[in-house]
Amino acid sequence: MTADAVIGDVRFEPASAWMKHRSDLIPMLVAASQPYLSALYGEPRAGAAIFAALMACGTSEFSVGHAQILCEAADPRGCYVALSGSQLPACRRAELCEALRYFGAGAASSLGKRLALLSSLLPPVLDSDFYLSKLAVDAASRGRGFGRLLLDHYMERGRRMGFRRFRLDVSQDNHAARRLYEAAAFRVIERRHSAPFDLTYLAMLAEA
Amino acid sequence: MEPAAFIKDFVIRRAAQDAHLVDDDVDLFGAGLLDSLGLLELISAIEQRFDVVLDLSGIDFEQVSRIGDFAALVERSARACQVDQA
Repeated sequence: MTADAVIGDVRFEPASAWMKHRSDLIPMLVAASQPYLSALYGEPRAGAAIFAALMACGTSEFSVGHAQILCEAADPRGCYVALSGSQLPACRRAELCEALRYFGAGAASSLGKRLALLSSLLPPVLDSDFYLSKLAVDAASRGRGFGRLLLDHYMERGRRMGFRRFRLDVSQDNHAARRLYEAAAFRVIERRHSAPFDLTYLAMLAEA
Repeated sequence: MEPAAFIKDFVIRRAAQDAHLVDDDVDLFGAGLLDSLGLLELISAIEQRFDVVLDLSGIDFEQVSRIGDFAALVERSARACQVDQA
């Protein structure tokens, strides 16, 4: 950590803070979801619109209920989205449903083709896994330990909820994120490649 | 072939299931008969077969997870397309 390391007025805010911070959080989430997100939707703007709709929808599995927001004083510095593996299929369906609405009539065919090419990239998640769907840190606040705070909060919350397996998928090229996860005892359990998009993702697991 | 029969046939072929396990009231997602990719493939297959564009605005897919409800959506969309063309 640098001299700017996390000190003082840092706290996690409840999901209800989402609407207040959404204009800061959505670009962070979009950046944290690359390069998969742009490969699936073809353009980053789509991801931003789809996240905004999903997070605002209280009934969706992929709602703010799964998000935790880290603030320093009044400013959001990062967030994560985590959910049980048993909730993940419904969450991914909700995301596709929003994508279909975003792209409009007749988009199912082209979206389906992209998803088919990407579907083998992320290995299955067990129902008993606590899955870290997103972990995002504000670009200007990197190197100050916020990522580790978010990751520790995620694992502590999962343990309290009774989970013993912590799972995530990360791009092989995302070296900063990989260092963070490895420092928290995550290990690579599978490496998968999608040739059409030239993407490689690592499935990582930590056990409590 | 009616929408309900077409959807059922699609699900049976895709999930390689026995027909008797797939009825109009089974929860396709909950029973593991249809995943996200399967859902997109089903929508494109329906749009091609029935020459409709499914009206997905306001649809929560958890609410059309049964063949009967899904078929009703196809029929509603088909009627709307006919009105548009009239």
